[in-house]
Amino acid sequence: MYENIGIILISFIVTYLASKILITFLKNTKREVLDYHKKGKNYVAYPGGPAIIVGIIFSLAILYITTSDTRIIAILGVTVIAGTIGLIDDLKSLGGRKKPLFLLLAALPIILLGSYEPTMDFLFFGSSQLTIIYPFLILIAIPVTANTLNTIDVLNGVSTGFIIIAAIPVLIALIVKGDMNAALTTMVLITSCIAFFIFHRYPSKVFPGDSGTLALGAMYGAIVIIGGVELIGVFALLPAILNSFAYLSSMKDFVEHKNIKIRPTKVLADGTIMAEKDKRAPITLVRLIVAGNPSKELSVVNTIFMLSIVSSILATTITLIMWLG
Amino acid sequence: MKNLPTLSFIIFIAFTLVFIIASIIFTIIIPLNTTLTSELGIVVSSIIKGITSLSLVFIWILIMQKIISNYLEKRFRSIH
Repeated sequence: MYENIGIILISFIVTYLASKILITFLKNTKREVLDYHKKGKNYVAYPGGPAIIVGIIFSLAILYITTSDTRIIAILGVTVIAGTIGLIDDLKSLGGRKKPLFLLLAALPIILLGSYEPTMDFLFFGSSQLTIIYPFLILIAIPVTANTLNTIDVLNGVSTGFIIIAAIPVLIALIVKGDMNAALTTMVLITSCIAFFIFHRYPSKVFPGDSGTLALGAMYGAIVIIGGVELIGVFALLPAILNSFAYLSSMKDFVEHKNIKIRPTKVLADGTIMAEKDKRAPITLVRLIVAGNPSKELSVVNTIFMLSIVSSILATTITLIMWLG
Repeated sequence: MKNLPTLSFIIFIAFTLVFIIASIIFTIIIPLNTTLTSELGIVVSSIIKGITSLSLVFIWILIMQKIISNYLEKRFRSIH
């Protein structure tokens, strides 16, 4: 019990301290990017992802030493590979098409270590055996969850705040299932995100970059696969999944945000965000929120969090129905 | 937060559709027994089941795309 609290505290403290040190380093070395949604020219430290990855590596290593559960090594492998791909993309852009392909590599630790059960439980309908298809689903799922979180990371604090809310139903589902090691790993994800969120929340002092969002998205995907709570994970992630699919189906290609010709939103001089009316502009969650309702950045961020809470409540309801059933 | 109720409803529709599609996949498509008993036959039937399931996911994407486009059009029309 005390060990577990210790691991959770370590993930918070290490991520918090690593973020503080990294922000100072990034500011001193002028590694900053423009925050588009602020009045005037406001530069923010970037990328802060390595601080999250360090916090997660530290805590998961200790968790593995205390539990000897190889599934933790698989989750650690997924997070580190996805984070490294993100870091390469932060330093030298990989391009919209290459990134999902490279992210296939991040799924390999789960498959190679055999850290999955090829079955899916679905409410009172029982469980389905997916021996042949399941490894392919893992190969798709990790790049999808990583890219999904990456696509929603457009405003201050959204990616880390969103993953904190979306991980709660997963944590409840794992506790209900009695998988305490996977639940502890989810707690590590949540506490690392809370520690980073202190600096990432509006107004941001640091942006996680692709290294942060890809690592967190991939870790979330790995936890739901390894913990066998795939559907709960999908339900909790719905607003981000909708954002991703709306973006992809309107662009019809993997295009990086920075390479979009017509941006989905416009920022007015006073910092108000307005939806672009041009039909060629990509459809994103932010564009849907500000359509006919120009809003300030903080209001849009809070709306995204509210939508995340709605989907998390729905996911938790399913967990409770499964538990009672 | 003016658009929050409508967007929450869209999330609820997305959730319901995922729920229905998952029910079809997990209760009808995957447990479906075929007469193919050879190893190749099992692989072929798995591929067919996979393609059918993916088609259902694609239908979900199309429905959500339509709902989202309609929502955007209505929002833009309401400002004129």
